[in-house]
Amino acid sequence: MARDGSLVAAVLRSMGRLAQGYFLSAAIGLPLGVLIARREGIRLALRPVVLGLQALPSICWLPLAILWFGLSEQAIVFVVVMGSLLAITIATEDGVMSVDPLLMRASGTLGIRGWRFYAGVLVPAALPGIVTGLKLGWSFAWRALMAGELLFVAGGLGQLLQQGREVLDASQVLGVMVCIVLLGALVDQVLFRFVEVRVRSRWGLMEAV
Amino acid sequence: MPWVHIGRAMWSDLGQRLRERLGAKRLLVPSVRRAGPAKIAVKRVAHTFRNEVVALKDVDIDVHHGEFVCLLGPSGCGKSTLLYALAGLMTPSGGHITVDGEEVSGPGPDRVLMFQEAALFPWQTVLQNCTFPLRARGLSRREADGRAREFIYLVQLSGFEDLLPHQLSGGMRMRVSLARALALDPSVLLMDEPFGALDAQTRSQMHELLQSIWMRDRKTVVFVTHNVREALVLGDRVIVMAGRPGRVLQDLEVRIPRPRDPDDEDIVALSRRIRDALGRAQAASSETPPPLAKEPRDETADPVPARIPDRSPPPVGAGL
Repeated sequence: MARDGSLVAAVLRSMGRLAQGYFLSAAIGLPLGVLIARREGIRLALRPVVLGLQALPSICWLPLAILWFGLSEQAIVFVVVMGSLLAITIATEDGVMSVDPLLMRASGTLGIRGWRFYAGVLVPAALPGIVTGLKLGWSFAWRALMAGELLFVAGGLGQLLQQGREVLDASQVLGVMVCIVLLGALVDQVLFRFVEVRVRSRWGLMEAV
Repeated sequence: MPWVHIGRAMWSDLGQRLRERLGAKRLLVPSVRRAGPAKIAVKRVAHTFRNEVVALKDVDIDVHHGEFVCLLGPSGCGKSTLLYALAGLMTPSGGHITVDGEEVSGPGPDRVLMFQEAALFPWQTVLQNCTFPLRARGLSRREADGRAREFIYLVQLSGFEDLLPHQLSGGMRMRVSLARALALDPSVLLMDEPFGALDAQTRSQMHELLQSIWMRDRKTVVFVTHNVREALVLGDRVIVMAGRPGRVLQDLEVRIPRPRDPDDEDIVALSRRIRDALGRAQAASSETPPPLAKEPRDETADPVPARIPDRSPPPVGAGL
């Protein structure tokens, strides 16, 4: 796999897009999830939409993305965003709805309102659910990215895969696949597991070992 | 002569019992309406749940500044409903509740409610759980920290400030909840059977703690419980309630000097009296309702036939 130069560059390119798309979807999905959970009207309006769109495989967004953004970086980022946005929204909404009503009542009687309530009580209380959503969203984002990069060749790991196929170099293809698996596993198992364990132990949700 | 001794013994025994009775009567008397504006005024409050259960009916209570009032009653008598209405977490379907002259319209830190569970924020340490509401009230970081530590010390949890709620026992969590509530300096402290989930030992420790703290500040407290002993140990006033429909049975003043010992014989005797009264009320409310007044029999109408028509088969042999 003597293509260290191009591999690293491809990895960076892919991860860059992924990061952009993922953080954007988290930035939209989290507030959206909270809003849907807290406001009856918005929930009635948006929940069916969100649940319905969730059924759409993220790659189906690519043709629309290309129509809207042309053959550009934005198109792939858009696909990544749409892939993970809905999962994050749904999990966040779920997390907020499952917050113990006792904590809500306690906040009321203690006089905790406004932004202090949202940032200091609601989101932390829903955090275990939100972290699950973020983990899921990452998974979807990763898959959406790979699908997008394969279909719409524009640098990154997907392109390397295609290249390998075109020059009939199985080892390149396999090599890139291994790389993709390692990256995905690294983030999933190491980063998210770490965050999840920290959150759960702080919240008192871990079994004492 | 022996009967003199017997007689004397009988008299002294009778005298003892009379004294007890009168003494007990002196210690638990019906409350007298105090002069002056009430701190909490509950006027003709009624509440019916959506499933048509009448939780409260025509409740009229005045609580004055510095009183420790216990709402005592069996489960289902509406005491928690009334407390939640006082806290503003629920709006009663009828009547008015005013605190310090203002109508209650929502929950707030001037009427902090302590729940049956500690309701601490699980991701915050003991100290953070106490400082967070103080910061929400506008105190600076340093003021909030100092005040929180003061109250954590008061509930005898110094040294535990950096622990998380799941690392504490039930009693300790309740103490944090108490510290948190007291630190906010509410004008009224509402408590919904806060010690119900604790074991007897911890509960009596909490009673001592609460008594000593209360004797310091004389806050206005409304304390809900189903435990008669607890009500007598803690309260200046015991309002006995019964359910179906939720209403006030008796409003009694407890005149036992503080600090009170739960094993005091006076308290034991008084708790028996109250329990008997509650038992009678329960029995009365579960009796079938008195039959509707019968319509006066119309004596002139044909009397009901005295015999049901004979349906037995004709005797054998009767001509058919």
